[in-house]
Amino acid sequence: MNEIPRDLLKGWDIVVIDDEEDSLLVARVILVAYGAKLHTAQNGQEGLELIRTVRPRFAISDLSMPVMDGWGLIQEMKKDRTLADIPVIALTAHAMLGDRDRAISAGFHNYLIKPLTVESFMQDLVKLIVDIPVLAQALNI
Amino acid sequence: MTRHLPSQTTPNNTSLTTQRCIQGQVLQIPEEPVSRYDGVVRLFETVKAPIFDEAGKVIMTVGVSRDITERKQAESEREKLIKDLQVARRIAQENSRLKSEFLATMSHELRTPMNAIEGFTSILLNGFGDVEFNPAAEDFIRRIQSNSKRLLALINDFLDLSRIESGRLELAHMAFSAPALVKKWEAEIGVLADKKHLTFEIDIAPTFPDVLYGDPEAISKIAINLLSNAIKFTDHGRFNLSLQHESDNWIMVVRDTGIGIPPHAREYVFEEFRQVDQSSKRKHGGTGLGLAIVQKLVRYMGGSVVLESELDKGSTFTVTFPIKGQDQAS
Repeated sequence: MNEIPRDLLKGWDIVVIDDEEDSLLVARVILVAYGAKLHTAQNGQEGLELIRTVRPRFAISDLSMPVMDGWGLIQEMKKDRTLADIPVIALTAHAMLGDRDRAISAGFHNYLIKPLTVESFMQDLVKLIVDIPVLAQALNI
Repeated sequence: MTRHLPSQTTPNNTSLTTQRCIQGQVLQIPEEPVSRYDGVVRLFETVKAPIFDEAGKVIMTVGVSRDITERKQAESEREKLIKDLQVARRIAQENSRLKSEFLATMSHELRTPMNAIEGFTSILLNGFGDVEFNPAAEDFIRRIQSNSKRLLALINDFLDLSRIESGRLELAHMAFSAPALVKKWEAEIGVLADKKHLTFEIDIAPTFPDVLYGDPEAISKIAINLLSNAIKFTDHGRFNLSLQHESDNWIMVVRDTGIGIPPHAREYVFEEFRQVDQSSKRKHGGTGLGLAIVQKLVRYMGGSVVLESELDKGSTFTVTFPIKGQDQAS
């Protein structure tokens, strides 16, 4: 855990979308601890607006949500040229085996598996971020 | 069934039709209720024909009647049966839909609070979020964490099992790298093996293909559960994973030098929540669902599991399931 510098995401705008407040808070505490500026929304529709205004480095979105779910969100983002290049990482539950392949073919950059914990979240996230050239260059490593 | 009716059973309410017959028509009556000589009403199918003399005059009529009561009953029973089956099928489809909806909801409802517990305990224990607590609280928080991990593992295993049993598990068909997959298992199991000072050996046949076509997550689940089981029941020594690929079958052998399984228990170790005995469950931990998942998943994939074991010497699980190399993928 300690090898990830605490200013890794310093100044990065990140959008997290999840209908569960607790889940958002966990993500917030962890990401803010690494220097991120966090913006949260509780459904895909709000998330889409937030992504439009904030233009984050990347977004993390739950899949099952009211109003507009994660699938709807990624579909809208891929349709919109100005948003299509913002990487979105899906949050999926364990055992939803099919969901993961589906997530990637739907346009998500990759997926993270819940629960989000300090031990696994950042390590998994860093692995995903280094795969995205624009983000990998910007990391404070 | 066809027979000429004895005279006393001649239908007695046929004057109108007989009249028409007398006028020269051939009559076919597919179905008519007729009260028999004993007063019982039966269904008859009747053909009546006039017989003409040389001059073309009707001199008599002949009729053949068949009692079709049983046939009609059988037909209507059959129709009722078909209707009942259609209803049963609709109910079964609806139940299956409800069951999978229920599973999805349960899965979400059970996991959501667990995810929050896991997240917040890890935040506390890692000193994130600028929260301070009495160091004595740390022990309690660790206990909360280990219990929540246990509960989450149980929920996940239970949901996996339900998905396999209800046929809701959709197996992926994708190309994957076998060496990369094995490396993942090595990393995950290696940590657990180190904790118990066990030697973990992996033996991959030189002919084992690099790229295979199937569901890597399902295969991982089988391997990880078998290997975790081997660690759980081995207190010292080694355990071994060997992989072969023969005539489109993946053969995975997990061998341990553990306590072994007595003959009477070999049948039920694959059942849910069954270990050799109850005290064993408390001693060795685990959800008690690992081997059940392995067996059900392997069968779901069209394969089989064979267990050989010798008390105090160890156990060997041999899993065989069909899987193709990428060049053979269809």
